[in-house]
Amino acid sequence: MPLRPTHAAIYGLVQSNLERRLAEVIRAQEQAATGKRILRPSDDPVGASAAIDLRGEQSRIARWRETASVSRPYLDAANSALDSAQELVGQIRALTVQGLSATMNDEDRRGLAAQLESIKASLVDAANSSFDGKYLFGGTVSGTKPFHAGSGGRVAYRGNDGVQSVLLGLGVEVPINVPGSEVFAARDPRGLSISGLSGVRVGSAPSGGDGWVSIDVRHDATSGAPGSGITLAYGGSRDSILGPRAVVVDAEAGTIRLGNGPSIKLPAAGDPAGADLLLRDEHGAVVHLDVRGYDGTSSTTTLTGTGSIRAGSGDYVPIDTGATAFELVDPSSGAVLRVDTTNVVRSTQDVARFAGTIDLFTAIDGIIADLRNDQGLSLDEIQERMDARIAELVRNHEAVLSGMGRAGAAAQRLEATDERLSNQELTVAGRLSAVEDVDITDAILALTRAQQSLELAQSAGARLLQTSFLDYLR
Amino acid sequence: MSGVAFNLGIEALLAAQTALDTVGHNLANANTPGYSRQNLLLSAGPTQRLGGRLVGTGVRADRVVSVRDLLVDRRILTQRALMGRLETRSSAVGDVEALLGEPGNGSLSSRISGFFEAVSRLSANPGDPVLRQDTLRAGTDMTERFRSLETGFQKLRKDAAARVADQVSKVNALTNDVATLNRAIAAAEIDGSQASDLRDSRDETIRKLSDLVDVSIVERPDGTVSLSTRGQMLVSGTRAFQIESATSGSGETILRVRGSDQPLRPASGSLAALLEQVNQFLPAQIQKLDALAKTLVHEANKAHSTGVPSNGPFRSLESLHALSDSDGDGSYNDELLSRAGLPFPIQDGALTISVTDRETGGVQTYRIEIDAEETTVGDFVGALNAIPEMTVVVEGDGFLSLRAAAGYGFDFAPRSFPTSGSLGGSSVQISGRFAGDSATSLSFRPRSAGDIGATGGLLVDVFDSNGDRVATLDVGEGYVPGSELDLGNGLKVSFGLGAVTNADTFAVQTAVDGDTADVLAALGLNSLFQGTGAADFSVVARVLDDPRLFAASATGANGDGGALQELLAISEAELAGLAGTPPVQFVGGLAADIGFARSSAELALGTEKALHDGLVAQRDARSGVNVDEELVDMLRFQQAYQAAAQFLQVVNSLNDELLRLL
Repeated sequence: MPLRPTHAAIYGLVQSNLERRLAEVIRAQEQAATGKRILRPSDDPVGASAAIDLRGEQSRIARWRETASVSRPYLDAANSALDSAQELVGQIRALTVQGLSATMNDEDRRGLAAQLESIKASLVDAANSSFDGKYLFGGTVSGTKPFHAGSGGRVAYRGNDGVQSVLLGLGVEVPINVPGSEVFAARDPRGLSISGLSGVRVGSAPSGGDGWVSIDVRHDATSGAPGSGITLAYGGSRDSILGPRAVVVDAEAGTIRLGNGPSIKLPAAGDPAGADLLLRDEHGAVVHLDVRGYDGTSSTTTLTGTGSIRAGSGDYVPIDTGATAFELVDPSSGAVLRVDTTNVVRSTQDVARFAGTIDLFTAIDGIIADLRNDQGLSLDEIQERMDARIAELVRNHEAVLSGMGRAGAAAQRLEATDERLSNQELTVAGRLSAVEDVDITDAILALTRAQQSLELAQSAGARLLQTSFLDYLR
Repeated sequence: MSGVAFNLGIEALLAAQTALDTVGHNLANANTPGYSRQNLLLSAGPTQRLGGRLVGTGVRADRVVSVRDLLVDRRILTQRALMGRLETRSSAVGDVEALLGEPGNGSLSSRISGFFEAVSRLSANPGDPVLRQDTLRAGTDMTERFRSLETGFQKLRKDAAARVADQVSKVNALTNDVATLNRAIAAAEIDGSQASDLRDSRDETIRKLSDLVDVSIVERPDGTVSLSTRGQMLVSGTRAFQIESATSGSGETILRVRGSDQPLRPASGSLAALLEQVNQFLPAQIQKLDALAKTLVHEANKAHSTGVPSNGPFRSLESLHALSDSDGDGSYNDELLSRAGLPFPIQDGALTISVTDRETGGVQTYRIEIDAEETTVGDFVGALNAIPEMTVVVEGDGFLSLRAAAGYGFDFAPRSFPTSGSLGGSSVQISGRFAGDSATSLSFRPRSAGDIGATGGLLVDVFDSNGDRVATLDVGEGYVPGSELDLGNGLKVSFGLGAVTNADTFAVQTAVDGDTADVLAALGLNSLFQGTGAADFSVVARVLDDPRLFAASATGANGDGGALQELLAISEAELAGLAGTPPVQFVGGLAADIGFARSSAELALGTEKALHDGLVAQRDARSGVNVDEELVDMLRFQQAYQAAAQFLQVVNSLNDELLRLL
């Protein structure tokens, strides 16, 4: 049956054609204006789902990149802090070596010690570097100062050895800190050493503990009477000798000495200085003598000092001069020391170090103490003790350098990761654009085409609607 | 002769006039929807025998009939019902799509990404209060988006239900109209004529009804029609059956014919689409949203609950979810922990709980084994109370309250701790955070007897739970007791002074997750998020009020971000609650489903509309008014009228001639 057209159908047709064309124009306009092919999921459900996935991917990459860039300054700050720290340690090494020179006198060394003191303060500052309110060398304890200078200049580490890392990709974990415990207090356990100023030595049985433990050797009393009419001043209560020591009075030379210590001139009889003559032996132990009653004869007598010893905050116990594994317990640190007390010669404070567990600051403290030489040691003695201390210093210096290396490597990893991620970001952005965006040329062409076909439909419709048989009736 | 001629002329005049009336009627209704063009049926009058000849008696205007194709009309009705459904569906799904706002800024997927971005930023400096605040803000933004989406979906559902009620009353009005028209048609056609216009308007009413609900039509001999939907009568003759909407026990909106208990389920028409929207589509989307929210709550809380706040271990904690006394005996203690009405499941596993002495910083770690099928609330609370420094009570309303003794704090961080045995007189200390993939038990066995740090060649073997040796440590001569040795996987061990024998063994439990039973997340202890669906998804107020409680640390150190990395892992994890997809992809799937629903509705609508237009064209071709055609008819009948009038004039003048003869 041939189609019988009706006017209502023509109107409807024109109308629906116009509607369709207009919808096309609107859609093309929307695409051209936004540059997006997918404005709602129904435009292309598969594409929209892919776009959401890709946006998720994009956000993930952005998140990783942002985390990397947020993390980077911490590493850079750590690196620069470590750089200045290693420079400071280098200075300390140089000054220490200088301090060992024979051309230096005590005063020069004390000057050096003061210099080291100020360098150490700068070093503590470097170790306490913070960035954006976060302490860089406290492990994962980032809110409190990691290196705390307590009384007596002792620096204690309050951080932990936690490594803080950030995720920069699936399973890509990059550390962004270097714990201070590994940089400024690196451990390399080898054994116990005792400074040995008092003559306390490492015992024959093992000791256990951490860091350093102070050993206080106290002088309790001096027994025995020197000859030649000389008596103990203060009843022997202010002396520091421990164990037997000879007092040799040489009438011919008019001198007196203690052990192998320096001979000193006896003051003239009646000189008030004779009421408290200080004698020092080769170990630095002293006795106070009253020589006013000197009878002018030579004599060699033996004085014996007795004393007590304790570790850390423990109780004093009398020294057993026959023990080779005398047990001392420091209740505060829990350290158990087994020391050889057979050769204790003077009262003083010793430091027992669990070697390799000595941190940089304790090592510097030791050097400073040695340079100050409050104990009145000879150059040879100082040099001997310094050798061990310098070894610790060098070990710590290396730890700082290796920490710097680690921070640098981590920073490099961040950079490399960032570079990789930025490439990935471009790829994903490209893929997203391919899924979501319109080719702008296509979009504009489509818009022009849609507009043209709308105009065409309009003009065709207008013509079609105008024609009517009525036009020709009369 | 003249009698016949006059009659003939008048008949012709009248026929032409009636034909012109019909043309006028057609022209007047050229644009009336549903109008079927009418034709005047003309026939030649009966012949008369006049003087032995058969003579025609002119034209007869028989009756006016409308030109229609019933089959096409019925098919149009079906098509309209289909289109009504698709149109409504497309626009209803379009509302959902617009509400979802994917893909775009501020959409759900970008809010979820935003939260993980903030967590990642925080991981660079977990102690930073500003970043913490920022992370919680991002979390709040995310939960708000969930809530507003849920509210939006619920509102759409309510609106759709209201539209159902609205359309139900429209259907009732239309069926009433059909019944009324049935009566009028039956009355008008009692003489066998065709009440075309009444039929047209009934057809149009049925057509409107078809937009709302699919109807099948049965025409009866008396001209009335019966309408039914899916076998249920809507109109029978002159009687209309009203339908009503009701809410079923399961919360679904259902339709039924008043007086019937059978639900009415239209297959097409916009009512079908609305019912689908109310009963299936929106509930499915809400359910997906709820599943996503619940999974995020559970997963995030699993990660967060074993973290430690930046201000250190807890002094006290209250659970967010109440236990329920399901057997109603007034006691919670006899309930299985896994069936005590908690919103999240509990599985076999262990809870690690550590008590920290705030004074000394000393940490004591305990482990509570949980068997989902055996451990009761009483067992669990009892095990917690067995820890000397802990007091745990179930409050009267079912909430759990944990409290540490003065000077102590507790947390649930994964820590490695000794479980059994000892190495002679030597005390063994484990430190560091276990970085292995799965928790294991490490046992230490000296190979020979000796003194730590003194006996030459004193070796201690370390075995994992499979019995494989993972390390051999030299703790003899040269080892400084108390110094740390590396065990691998981030763990370190130190041995104290003392004598050991090769009969000694010492075991250490390592932990990756502090709560493998997920009991903390189930109880809502140390939670980050709360809620069991999208509607009540929120950041826990306690954490919002005090960002320090955001438990980022896995060790207790405030710069540690172990818990954050667990949180971040969620963004990549293939989550069981989300059909094995990560959260953002799940949203992508949700958006794609909605997109598909709409685009397929639109696509189908396009096809159905083309079919409909084709049918309408067919109908118009048969029943529509072509104005030109009518104008031609008008001219034709005008001329016929003029001719008849002329004929009458001729007959009249012939008669006059005759009369003049008289």
